[in-house]
Amino acid sequence: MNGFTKKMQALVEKVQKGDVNAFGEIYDLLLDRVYRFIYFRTGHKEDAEDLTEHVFIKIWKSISSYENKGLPFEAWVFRIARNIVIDHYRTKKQNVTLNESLKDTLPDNKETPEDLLHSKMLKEIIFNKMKLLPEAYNEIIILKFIEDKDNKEISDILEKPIDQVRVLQSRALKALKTLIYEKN
Amino acid sequence: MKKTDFDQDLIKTLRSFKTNENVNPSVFFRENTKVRLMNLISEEKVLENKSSFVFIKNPKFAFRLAGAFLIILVFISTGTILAAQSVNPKNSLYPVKLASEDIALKLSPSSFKANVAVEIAKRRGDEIASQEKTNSKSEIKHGIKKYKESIDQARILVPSGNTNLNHELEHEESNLDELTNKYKNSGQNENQSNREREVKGASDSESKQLELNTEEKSSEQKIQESPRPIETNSSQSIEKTIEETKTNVEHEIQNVISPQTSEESK
Repeated sequence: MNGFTKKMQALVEKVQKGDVNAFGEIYDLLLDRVYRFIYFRTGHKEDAEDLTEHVFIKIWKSISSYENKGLPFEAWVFRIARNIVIDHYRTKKQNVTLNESLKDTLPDNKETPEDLLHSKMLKEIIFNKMKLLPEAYNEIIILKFIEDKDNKEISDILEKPIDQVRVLQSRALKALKTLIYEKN
Repeated sequence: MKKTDFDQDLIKTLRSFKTNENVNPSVFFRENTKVRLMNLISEEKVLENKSSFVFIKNPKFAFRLAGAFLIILVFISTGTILAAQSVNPKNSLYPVKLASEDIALKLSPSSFKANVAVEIAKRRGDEIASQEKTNSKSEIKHGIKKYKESIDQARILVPSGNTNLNHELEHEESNLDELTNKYKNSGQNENQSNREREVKGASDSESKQLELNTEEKSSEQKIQESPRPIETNSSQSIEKTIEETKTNVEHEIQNVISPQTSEESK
């Protein structure tokens, strides 16, 4: 258990004993991570804000039932965030529309991908291409490369075996590269 | 540029997203959401506390609930007691029957105690009659002993002037004699026979009093102090007494609850 996980566990125990301020600390420590995850998944700032708030309300309501049985609190939070995003798409069915709208905003340039790698535009391209990826590839790229989670943590969050996580990770990266090459 | 370099650069770019301002929440959102969230939590906490202390903060509600619970308890208990009234000594409810008889005797008014005592004696006699069909001799002998004890108790309580009760008691005593003689050969000890003879010819209350325990003595004292009983006899006197007790208890509960109810109606 690393320092962050230990600190988080101590805060969770405080909240479970009724310390409201400890929940404020948890919010401060996890807000960016949760927001980023949702933002990369939805691509909309407004949706990301609404869903992030929804995630923290859900955390508050369920925190009393959380038990650290090998599942770190942060992974538990990411599971909640992931489920909320899935529910969001299930109810609004915006997935296709969103991806189509992103396609239109992609920059149209003649540069090679190699050149683009060193330009500011690349970030935008990657960001937009990520949304064209299948859901499973998208979330594994966010967790592995943006949030720096190890395979065990990803396995806990996605509730998939580590071997499958490794395979998914490799395929996701390959798919992203293909998308970048294809367009350019 | 080789593909592997591209991979590395791609990963590097992905990692750099974390520090990108555009993919992180704004300061306004961060602070605003926190305030909203903490307010929501505090409100929930207050509601939670309110619901936890509803009994302390609303004693009227708590009192009403306790009253309702007591009534249910009385009905359940009464139901069990009534069910126990018709059981035989082998039944698991028999101790409840004995206990309810004891309570009925103690709670009944002094003018009615003698009737209850005679009724209890009759019950012991009826039990032996039913035991004779099914139970072993040793159990019947035990029943005879109980029968005798109940007759002794009734003899103390029945005043000499109450002819009806005395007549009934004499009938029970002769029944006891018959039973005693019937089961004498099967091991009934001599002391018991002597006791029966003493009871039968019990003109002298002193010899009976020697056999009485302290409780019986106090009961006798109460009877001597009490006015003469009303000369009525009912075969259902025990049930009546229990019903009276139940009514009294319900009446008491109503008295306790009624101020609450009247407040409510206002």
